[in-house]
Amino acid sequence: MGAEEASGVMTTEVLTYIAKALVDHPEDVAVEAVEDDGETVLELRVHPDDMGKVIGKRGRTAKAIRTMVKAAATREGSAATVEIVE
Amino acid sequence: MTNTDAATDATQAGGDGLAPPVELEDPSLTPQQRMDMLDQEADIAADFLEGLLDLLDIAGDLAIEVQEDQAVVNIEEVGSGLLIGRRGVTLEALQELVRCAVQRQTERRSHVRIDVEGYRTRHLDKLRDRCRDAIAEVRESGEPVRLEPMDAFERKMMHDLVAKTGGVASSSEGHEPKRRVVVHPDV
Repeated sequence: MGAEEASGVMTTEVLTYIAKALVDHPEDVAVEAVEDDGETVLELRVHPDDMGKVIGKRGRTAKAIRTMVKAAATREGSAATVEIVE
Repeated sequence: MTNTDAATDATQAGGDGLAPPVELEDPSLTPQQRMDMLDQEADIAADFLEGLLDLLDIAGDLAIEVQEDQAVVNIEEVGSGLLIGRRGVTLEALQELVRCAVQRQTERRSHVRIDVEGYRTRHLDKLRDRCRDAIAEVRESGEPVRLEPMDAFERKMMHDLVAKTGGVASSSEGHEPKRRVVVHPDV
């Protein structure tokens, strides 16, 4: 299994799982892995009403999501950053 | 205060014809009701953590302890520092995510504390040691001493420690996440 193939599977699943646990509209959670300059960017989309839930006060929740996804990336030996897309 | 804001939000969000959610601190609650609420919070936290551990392919047993004013979920037998991270940053993130997940479902403030292999308990012991040093310093110099930034629970523990000691008092200053306890002479 190549590195590219491995990258993003666990991180995508972890990000989706976390986001769904935090929002009121889990069915509207979407994560898309986009390659950018050799790095995986995970684009997170949620229902407009749920934006505040994944960002939190002063970006506190968004920061926690990023830290957790980074840990998942470490676990699978990949690198991924999270972008919350409006 | 942030907590009051969150409580107000939760009360307003609690529509659906149901009674507005009652906070754990409500004096009309019986000890049993309080216990049930903490049980519920711990269950939500444990469900969330189990799913996450599964996805991360990390082993771990969850030990739940419901205390008087909080529930502690300790992840044991992990065999990996991944959930703790450098200086506990991942554990801090985990705590924040659990707080949000619990709050979304209960619509009230979360009282669940997450620990991994007792990391936070040990950290708290270290903070207490440093607080004792600060108390001694304040008594000697008569000058206030600022402790390092801590979360709300840790600050409360420091205030409790100072309150049990004569001749010193404490207050908090700064904004989250840099809010810190200041130990000063009691006048």
